[in-house]
Amino acid sequence: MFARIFSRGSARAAARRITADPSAQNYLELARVNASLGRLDDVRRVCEEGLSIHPADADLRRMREGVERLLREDRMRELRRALGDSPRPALWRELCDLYLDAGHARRAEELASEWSVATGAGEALLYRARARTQLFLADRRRDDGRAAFRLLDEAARAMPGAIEPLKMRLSLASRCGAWVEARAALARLLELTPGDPGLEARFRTVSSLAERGGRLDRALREVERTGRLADDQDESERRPACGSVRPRLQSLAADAGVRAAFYVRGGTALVQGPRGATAERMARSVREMVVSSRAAARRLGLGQAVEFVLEGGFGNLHVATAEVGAGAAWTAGPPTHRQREALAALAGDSQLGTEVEA
Amino acid sequence: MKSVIGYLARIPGVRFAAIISPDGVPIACQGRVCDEEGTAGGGELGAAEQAGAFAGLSAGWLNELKRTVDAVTWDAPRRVVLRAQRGTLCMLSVENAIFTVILERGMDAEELRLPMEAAAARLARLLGREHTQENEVARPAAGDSPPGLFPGNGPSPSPRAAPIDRTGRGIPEASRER
Repeated sequence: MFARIFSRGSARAAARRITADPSAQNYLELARVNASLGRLDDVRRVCEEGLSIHPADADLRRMREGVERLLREDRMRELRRALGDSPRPALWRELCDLYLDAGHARRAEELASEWSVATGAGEALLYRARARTQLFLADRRRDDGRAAFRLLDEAARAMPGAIEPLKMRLSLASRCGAWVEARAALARLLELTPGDPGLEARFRTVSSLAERGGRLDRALREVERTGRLADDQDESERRPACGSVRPRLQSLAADAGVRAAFYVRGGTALVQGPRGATAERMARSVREMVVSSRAAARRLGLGQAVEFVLEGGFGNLHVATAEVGAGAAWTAGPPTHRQREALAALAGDSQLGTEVEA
Repeated sequence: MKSVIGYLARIPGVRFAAIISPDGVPIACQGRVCDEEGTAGGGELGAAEQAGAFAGLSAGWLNELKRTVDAVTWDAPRRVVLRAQRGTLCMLSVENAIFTVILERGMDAEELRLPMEAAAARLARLLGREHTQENEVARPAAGDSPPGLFPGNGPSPSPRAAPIDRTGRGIPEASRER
């Protein structure tokens, strides 16, 4: 009771401090006081206000994410209770949306399945397809992609004349490079909404792409193999204009116990340590290992690979992978914490890469 | 086998543990391949099929790594760890088998190093004992076995066999009978 009274006083004091000095720290303080009072809506409001002035502040961003998660969980609990009492489409829809926003695609799919069984609604199939699409885009697994297309087919059959399943199909097919599928979806969309200039222009573009191939199965296989979608930005375009990987690699290779250090990005690699043909052979091997490990992690349902370690009579090979690059160190014994951190920085640093050579 | 794998599967943070053959056939497994979200390598398969698919995929990846390190004349890796966003895969190669364990997200693979080595040693002991028992069953009685092709320095395998005359002065009993 007393604590609550004092907290209200400190909330007023924190609000006055913001008036005098609207710093990120003061906004954070006010948000904390509101959190201690259990006013989650106020916490969110304060965080948003603070972020509008200090958009790069990590603490405010973290606090907003935390409070949004708490509010979402509260709402999910309410919705589940309401669905138990009187299930109806609006509740199914909102709960599915919340699960998808929170990244719980499997739960969203399960819920949509229940909805489909209970009502037989075509919209439930559409939500199942959305959940599968989210899984496919996260893990890049062929099975998920195939299931998403199958569910979209079922949804289109259950909702004749609806354009939403076709739009989703077009978006998914375009993202994975299945241009033949995309052309078919566009043709059907043009039948339903004739004369749309945007769709017509897109149809012409996609038709020319479909001439060069782009069957669904091959496109999905390619996405699973490479881990890249057709609309992912090209690695050479993403390469920044400043920064250098070489000094970091050299300092890593000079570290005690390190026999060789590698930096791999796409089809190119930098090596420090071995020379000549040995360096080439090792770089090629490390690159192949990175590619196969990324694909294995996706196929095994473990998501994106973060790092992998090989131990044997040759010593240790520690490889840190990121979305674009990968750093590797061949050491005599287990790598030190500092070496592991250096590798992670090497792999994930977006400021690297101008000196990557073939 | 099941007791060995059960010991690993009971460790907190271990989602799935299996012993698989080098060509990817599950020998013994315990736990679930799926994570809390139900995401797994087996897609919409049943638990047994998921374990089978997982064993095949993981052994395939390990064999791929072995082929790759062959090119740099390294020997096959004994322990392999793959850390990913939704879990960690640990594999330990022993003679004619691979220990495969999936850890929950956030668990350190180093915590499993000792238990996996212990399980491997236990499996080796079990296989060694079975091998010895099989040999004892398969080996015929010592007296019935024919003597070796070449004379050795050790005692004769058959106690009833006539001693070999190495001096050349003695007359073999068989000759005397003639």
